[in-house]
Amino acid sequence: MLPSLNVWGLSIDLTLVLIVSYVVVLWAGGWALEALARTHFRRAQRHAHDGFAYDAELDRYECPQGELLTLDTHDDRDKLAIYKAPAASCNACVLKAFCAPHDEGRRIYHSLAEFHETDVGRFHRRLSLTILGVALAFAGGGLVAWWSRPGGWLLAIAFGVSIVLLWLDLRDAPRNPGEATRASETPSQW
Amino acid sequence: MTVSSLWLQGAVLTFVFGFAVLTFSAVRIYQDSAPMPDQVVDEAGKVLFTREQILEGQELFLTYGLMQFGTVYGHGAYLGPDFTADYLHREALHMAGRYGGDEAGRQRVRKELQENRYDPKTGTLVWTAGQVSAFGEIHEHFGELVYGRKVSGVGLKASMIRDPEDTRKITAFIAWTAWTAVARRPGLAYSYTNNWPPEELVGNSLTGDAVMWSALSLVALLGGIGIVLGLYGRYSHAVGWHESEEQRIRFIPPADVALTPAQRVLSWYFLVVAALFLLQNLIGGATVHYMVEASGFFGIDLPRWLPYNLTRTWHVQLAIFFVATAYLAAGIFLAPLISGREPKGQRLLTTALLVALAVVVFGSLGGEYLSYHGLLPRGQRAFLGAQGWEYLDLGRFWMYLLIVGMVLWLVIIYRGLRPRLGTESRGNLPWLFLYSALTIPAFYAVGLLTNTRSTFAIGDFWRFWVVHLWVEDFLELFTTMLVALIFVLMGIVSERFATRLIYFDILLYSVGGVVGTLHHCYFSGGPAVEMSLGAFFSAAEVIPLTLLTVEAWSFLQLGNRQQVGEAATFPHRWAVLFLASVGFWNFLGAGVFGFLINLPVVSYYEIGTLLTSNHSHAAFMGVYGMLALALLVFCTRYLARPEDWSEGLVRFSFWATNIGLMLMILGHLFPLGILQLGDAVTNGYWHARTEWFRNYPWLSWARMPGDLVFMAGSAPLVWLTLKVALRTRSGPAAADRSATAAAGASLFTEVSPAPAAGRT
Repeated sequence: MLPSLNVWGLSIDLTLVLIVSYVVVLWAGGWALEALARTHFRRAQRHAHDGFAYDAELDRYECPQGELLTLDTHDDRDKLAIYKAPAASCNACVLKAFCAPHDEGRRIYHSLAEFHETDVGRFHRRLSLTILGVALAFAGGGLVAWWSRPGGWLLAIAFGVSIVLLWLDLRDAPRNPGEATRASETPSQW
Repeated sequence: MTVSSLWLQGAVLTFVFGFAVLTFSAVRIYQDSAPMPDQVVDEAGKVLFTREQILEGQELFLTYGLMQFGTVYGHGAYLGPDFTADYLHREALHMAGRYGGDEAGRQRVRKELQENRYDPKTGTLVWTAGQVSAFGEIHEHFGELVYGRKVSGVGLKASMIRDPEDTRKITAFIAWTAWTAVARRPGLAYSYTNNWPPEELVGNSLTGDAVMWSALSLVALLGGIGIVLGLYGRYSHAVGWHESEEQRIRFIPPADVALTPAQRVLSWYFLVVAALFLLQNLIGGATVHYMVEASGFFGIDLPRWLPYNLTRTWHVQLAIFFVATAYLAAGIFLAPLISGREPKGQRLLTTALLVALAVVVFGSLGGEYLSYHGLLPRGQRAFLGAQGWEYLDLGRFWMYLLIVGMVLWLVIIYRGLRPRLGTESRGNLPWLFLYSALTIPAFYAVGLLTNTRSTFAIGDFWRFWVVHLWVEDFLELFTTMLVALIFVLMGIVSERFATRLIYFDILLYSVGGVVGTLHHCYFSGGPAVEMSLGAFFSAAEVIPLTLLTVEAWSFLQLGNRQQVGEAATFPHRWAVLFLASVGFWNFLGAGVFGFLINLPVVSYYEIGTLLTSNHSHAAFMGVYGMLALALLVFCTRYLARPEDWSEGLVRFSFWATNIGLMLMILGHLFPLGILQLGDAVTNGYWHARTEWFRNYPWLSWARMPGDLVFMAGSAPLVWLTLKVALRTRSGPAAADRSATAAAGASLFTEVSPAPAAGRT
């Protein structure tokens, strides 16, 4: 078995210290997973209109060659706003080969879906919640074992923080898919 | 060619470079691996055992499944001890006691053991009286623990190996490995195993080479990631999973896609995949249960019939079989979609392959049972029973049959693709698909260079060509190929972009992955140059993994945009989500957990601990397992009648397997592995490998929730695939040309959005 540590005159089991450290690592891991996925989700959404400037006031895009893409379709069911440039301009453009693989004019598909509403978002969120759940289980299991032993208070804090983090994470998630989208109706909000 | 021919030339050049370095290391390993003496004698010249007896001992060790109980040089299974480290520790203790037990005695032990008394001219190795005496004592210890234990325990049955001559040969083999671990290489200050295992009593500690190459490989990693991510940022538009403009597509409903006769047979393949997956999980549960109850299963004397080494072998073999079956089936399923037609006779060949697979799977599992229980004649054990090398456990005969089966699969794929191949440049996607299919039997066949009587370092080297090159490189390439093809067929990316991405993968894997094979061989008796090459290039393996993770997240968004709001009309929601999980586990399992144990300074203490198991579960199940399930779900969606398809069953399976795997990893393998690594550093490697985990029964039991959730996830797939196999969809009719092919060999149609008046 592992030895004990002396901290400020108190003898604390090294196993307990390792459990608390592991719980903290799990908190960080769960948070990092969701934060990375969320960041990448936004980055990938921006891929759709890389190089195109969005004018929130007039709700339109401007392409690198100066042509304007205006709102063509707002598809509520698929949560998409589609912007389109005039076909004639695109067909005459020197960048056409790199920009639009057809003759109908360049389109930009602007997703209105929030991270929570996508399957990929739900995947990362549930894994993140699982990680926080493991942290809670370790803190809870440790608390039972060290309840009346020196250092048990550390596990009580870890247990409490794990519950709060889980609650905060669950609270942030919209109960019904679509809630978030209705709250952010226009692309300019993100 | 669809893409510039420079891609092809670059891929060929890096491929040739990687294999040139690997060939060089193959030559070196034959020249410089630890010698096996013709005879080992005592100081009076009396022969203790011969080379032939050591080799026979190795063969017995393997064919009785002891590499699936404990480890040699850190390679094998984790319930039993590391035989090399355990022998060395006990030998040093015995000799120190014999020499008085004081510091002078310990110094004498170190000197005697480190001194290399092997004479290459006569082929004779001389042992001191202390070494001879230790051999007898340790042989008795192994007799009580393993060979002839009186009752079931440590996961093994009673009286496992009865012949005293056989047991002595096995101990001779273990003693030889311990000698290679401590005797210094001529003219050098470290042993044949680069001073592995760490053992203070014999003066084995980390070598300067291990530290230097660990540091250099870190530099290579950080520099490489910086350069590659910089280039990626500059050129990602050319190779990433995205197009100049995203197009909206509508998928042809699965019920409207015609099936060829051979494709219909595949419903039985996927039933086999699901059944093998479930069986593999159940056997895995029994295997891990031995960590908390070494003598049985909730009071039942399980080792009598299914000892740990057998359940562990089946667990590993079934993992390979279920994944391989899914890959073979997906290849056959995609071929007519690529070529647009199916030649006559494909159905018969596909059925024949299924029968051959069943024979190999159940024949080899049966052979392993007979071999481990000593029920086969000595001469037949390695041929019909088990060869016993971890991952190449199956008997030689079954290995031949498996290779024949894979060649038959290749023939099916070639026949299926032939109509399209004639019209395509040899650097285009259909040809790349064929090439990558060709590598699967070819690199598995390399395993034939290993046999039960190969000197361990050489056998292990070729074994890792299969474990690393076949599994980690060529299956990874085939994975990318299948995903890319599916995405092309689904209209998510164009063929040109998919082809570039595949070439990009080949370049990245050939640079790091091929030579990275050597990171498995740091300490198994090969020359030190293997450690330097392995450390340097395997660190570089993390670079493509990092990049592929960035790419994976981008590619997830492709499927994702089909899933928002129109889940009911997107038929591959769960297949794409299984692919999403492949990207995630590739990053965590292969990237993070793989790199964690990769550096020589870490591997020196870590090899053969639960951190290896942590990596293998997260990477193998997370990447290949999840991909196999993605392929199963994707293909079964077309094979099922609409009324038999159940989104609910697949949804449950998806969440249960992913959450179960996460619980398994973070609730058990990772924390216990870290504790075990700490113990190896603090108390010695032998200590960390001697049923040490029994100190933490609560953490061993913590495995159970994850395992149960994971197992629950495999059962619905059996039910679903059984229904589909019994009632495979039959229409629309397609004798040899599918309606899909007529529609352009794709599974989608492009949609031009209807202009709307404004916002709704």
